[in-house]
Amino acid sequence: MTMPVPDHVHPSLVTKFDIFQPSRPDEEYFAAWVRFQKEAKSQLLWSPLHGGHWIATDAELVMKLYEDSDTMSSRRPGIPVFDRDIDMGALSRDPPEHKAFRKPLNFSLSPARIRSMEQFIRAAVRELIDHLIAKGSCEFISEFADVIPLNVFISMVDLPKSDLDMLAGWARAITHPTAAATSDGPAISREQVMDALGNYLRPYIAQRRLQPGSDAISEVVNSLVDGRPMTDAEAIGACTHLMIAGLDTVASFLGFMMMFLAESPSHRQELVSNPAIMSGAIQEMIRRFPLTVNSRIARDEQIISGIRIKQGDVIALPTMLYNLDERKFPDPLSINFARKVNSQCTFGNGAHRCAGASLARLEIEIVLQEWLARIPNFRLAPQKLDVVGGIVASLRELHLIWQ
Amino acid sequence: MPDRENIRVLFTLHQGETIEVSALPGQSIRQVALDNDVLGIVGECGGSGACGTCHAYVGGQWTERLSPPSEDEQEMLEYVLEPKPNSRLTCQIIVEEAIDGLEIIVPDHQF
Ligand code: HEM
Repeated sequence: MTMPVPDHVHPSLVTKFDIFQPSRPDEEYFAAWVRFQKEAKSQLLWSPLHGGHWIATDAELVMKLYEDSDTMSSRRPGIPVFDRDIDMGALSRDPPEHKAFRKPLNFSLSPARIRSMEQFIRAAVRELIDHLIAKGSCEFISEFADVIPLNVFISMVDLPKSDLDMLAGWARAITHPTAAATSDGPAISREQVMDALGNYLRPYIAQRRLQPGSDAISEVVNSLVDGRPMTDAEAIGACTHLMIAGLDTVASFLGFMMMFLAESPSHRQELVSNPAIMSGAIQEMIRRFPLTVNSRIARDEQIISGIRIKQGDVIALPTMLYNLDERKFPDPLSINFARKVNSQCTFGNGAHRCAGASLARLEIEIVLQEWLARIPNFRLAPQKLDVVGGIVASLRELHLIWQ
Repeated sequence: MPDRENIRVLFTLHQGETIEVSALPGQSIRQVALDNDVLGIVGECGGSGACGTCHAYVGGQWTERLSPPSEDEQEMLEYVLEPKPNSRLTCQIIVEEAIDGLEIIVPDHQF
């Protein structure tokens, strides 16, 4: 969907860089972002791809625009922007309205709540590793990374396990619009997926209004907005996003983390011999593998970094450009477990900062601990590693072998 | 730097040990902690009060002596691990002369 460059964009600001396919032939995905940032001549560049959008290229600007809900709106999240307003709960609402939708999430996903899920997650992770270990190899993305977050989500929202595959397919179609469009299956638009999800969730929402449980859906749908109950449409939006947000992201992160560890026996050794470094090591890996390119819409015409932005312009905020900026983190692509990571953008910033960061971190920690305890030595099978870009970037496949 | 600009802050660490560091007016306590390698105070969002990972407890009488947390901070504090009446986000406490001797107790976990 290449668009003509609008009049208010100076031709010198137009870039050929594709946020969903940033790499040149044989260029590693994250290295492509580092190169793009180094070459960027302006803090904002215009891409005519995917409906036409700005890209914030400066680390501080990315962080600032995530935080700036006064001039930036989240009402139409995603690139290309949906062709109509889509309700995605907190994600698609601006403050002050945002708050009522964020509150139940903060509650359901609070660190204390999340800690109470630890036993469940650990058991699920152990069971899956025990199931895989004898094979001596696996395709990590489909056999492990996709499975764990889905199981955690299903238990958190108390939906039937038999619906796992269907839900996973829908989540993927929304976070990987380009991959979905080119896959073999029938093309299904993100709008159609949202409708399908709505239809799927509606009976559950109705039931949990009548008989609330202690699951996240019950908490969301029974929370109040300005003193009134949430409408069905609002509840569907909120639950839909809760699902999309926590599946692909964690799965993708696990993929990148294991790809790295498969190739670095010394880092694995560090983790095995000194569990005390776990927390800092996870922090550093979360910095090194930022996954998402979220976006905002300019609320009004404004000047940012000397460049005129029109009302309604879409601005991509690549989290990579904060975390991998060499002025913030020298030698940004190398992983140093002792590095002090005092701020990072993997979870965004400001009012919309990831509500599930604690859950994500716990899942990562448990996977690391349990995998390394059972399979301390593993490596990459010969393969070409292929990153699928998108709102959430991820490895298409990751073949690991051990023994 | 004139002495009166050096304000003392005491951090009680995980092992129970207390260290005294000096801070400059205008800095946040989170920043002071990071500058002095106090482990256990993070503040991933960079100190904007958005993440709740610079949570700590204030010691002694300091809960009353500090200006009270804003509504936003109070809300964030509801969701930290093990909130207590003396919980604060250290990014929201700004160093000034009146806080000389402030006691900060680092929590066991942020996440
Ligand atoms: C490594 C894994 C994850 C990453 C990298 C990640 C990243 C992000 C980012 C960057 C945002 C901000 C979006 C924006 O500003 O437009 C966000 C928001 C959000 N995330 Fe995550 N996320 C992860 C895991 C999770 C999990 C496990 C959940 C929960 C099930 C979750 C739930 C949410 C929700 C509900 C929001 C919207 C918050 C709001 O708009 O107020 N995330 N996430």
